Amino acid sequence: MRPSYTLNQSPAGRVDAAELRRPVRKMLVLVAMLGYPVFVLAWVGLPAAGMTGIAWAVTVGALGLGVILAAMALYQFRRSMAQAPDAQLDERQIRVRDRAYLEAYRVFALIVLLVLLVGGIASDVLEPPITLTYDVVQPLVWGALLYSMFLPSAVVAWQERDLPGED
Amino acid sequence: MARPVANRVEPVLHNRIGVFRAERGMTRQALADALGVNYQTVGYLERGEYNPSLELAFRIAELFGVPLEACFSRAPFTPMSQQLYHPEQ
Repeated sequence: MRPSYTLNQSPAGRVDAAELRRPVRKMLVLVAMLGYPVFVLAWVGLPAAGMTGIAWAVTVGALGLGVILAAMALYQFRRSMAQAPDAQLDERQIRVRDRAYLEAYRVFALIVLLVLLVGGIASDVLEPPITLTYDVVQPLVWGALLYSMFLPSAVVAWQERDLPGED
Repeated sequence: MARPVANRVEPVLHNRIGVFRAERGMTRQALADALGVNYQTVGYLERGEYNPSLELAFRIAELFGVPLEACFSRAPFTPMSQQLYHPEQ
């Protein structure tokens, strides 16, 4: 296999520097991944629960902003090892990145399966049945976009261990 | 003997990278630059949490000027001080 770099030469534009400690990264992953369903539920459910106007807008806006900021922080994690091309990574990082895509695919497939399963059961049980309108499909599409883009970064951020400092 | 590494089971490969680096007064960053890898990868290598490719293993041994088997082993290394001063043990 041809190495992506040569001896005594660092990969160009090398991806390094773990700016965030692992507990912080895990918290960001949880906020980004669990925050979106909470955001959608708040968007739909709070008006039904009686919260409207400014209070609704502030609550939903804060939730949405939290999800976006957490997702962006993950995306920038190590200038996003998960998004970097081979030339910017060494062999360990390439392995970590490739494994992250595999794990992300598994998680994404599981999420899609659960959504389809729950949606299918709900459409059978609920009366009147769920109709696939723009309002129903839109959050699913945005969710699919969010998770497909950020899951590999989230997996890397979740799994990469902190190393002790230079001795 | 095997241990889980990031959800996988990989054979343990013992190494003396940390010892050789310390002998030469190199920082992890200096070693990483010499090898063309990320400095964190050096940390993973030293702690035995990442097994290098054969190509990288040879480069590490060549950089330190030692045979491959002096740097890597499937069995735990005897401490160098014991090898030097108490070889009979």
